[in-house]
Amino acid sequence: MATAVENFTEQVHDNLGINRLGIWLFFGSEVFLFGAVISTRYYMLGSKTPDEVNQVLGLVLTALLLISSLTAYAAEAAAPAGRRSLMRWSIIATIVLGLGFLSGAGLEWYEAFEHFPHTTAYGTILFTTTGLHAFHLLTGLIMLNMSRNPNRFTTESHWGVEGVVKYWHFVDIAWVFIYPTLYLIQ
Amino acid sequence: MSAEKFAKVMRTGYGAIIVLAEMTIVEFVIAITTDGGVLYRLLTVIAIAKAWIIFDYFMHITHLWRPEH
Repeated sequence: MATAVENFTEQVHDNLGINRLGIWLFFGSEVFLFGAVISTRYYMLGSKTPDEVNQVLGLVLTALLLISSLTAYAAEAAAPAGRRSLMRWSIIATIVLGLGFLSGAGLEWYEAFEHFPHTTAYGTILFTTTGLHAFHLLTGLIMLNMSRNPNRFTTESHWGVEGVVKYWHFVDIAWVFIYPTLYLIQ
Repeated sequence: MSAEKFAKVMRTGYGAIIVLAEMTIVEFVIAITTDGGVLYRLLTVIAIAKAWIIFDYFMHITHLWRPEH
């Protein structure tokens, strides 16, 4: 016989609305985290950006992340449509693009160690902000990898894919604000 | 989800990504041609607009206050 607690737990777990509200509350808390590091840049440096900043690399990283948002979106759309192969390959494409972004971030760090040591204000801000973002991206990649098996989802129940794709889009939004903050403001 | 609805959803995604790409190019061009307070304001407006497109079209924030489907 199912207890009231078990019934309630089952109800809550099946409630898509609660899942969605929960992840949006999580995003709200993340906004404070990214907001703090982004505002630190303006507090410490104002609009000053060193000339050595690689603006082209910043643009390429932005393009990679934007394209990965489309592939993630395709995976989320494919799940309820029962297009298992598309879902799987869209997630794999998103992972590849995410790895491309991480490689670019690695190149950025390689250049940054030379031009902006961590003892400088801009170096501190650059390593903190991009490091925080790259860590979020890495966790997104791990979760995407865990979700790439389409047999774990049905056309009716695919919150796992929806949740991880939403998280991926949030990481993209964080970059939408980090990109002008670190590369474009002058 | 029907094939027709799926095609419509994907068209929405393609439209959103094209607008985001255009805004990113505009943002880049503005940044290398402008400076000062105007640049701050323009980049802020563009970043907020890009974020809202992702919130709305990719993350479906409006589903929070719509009936579940």
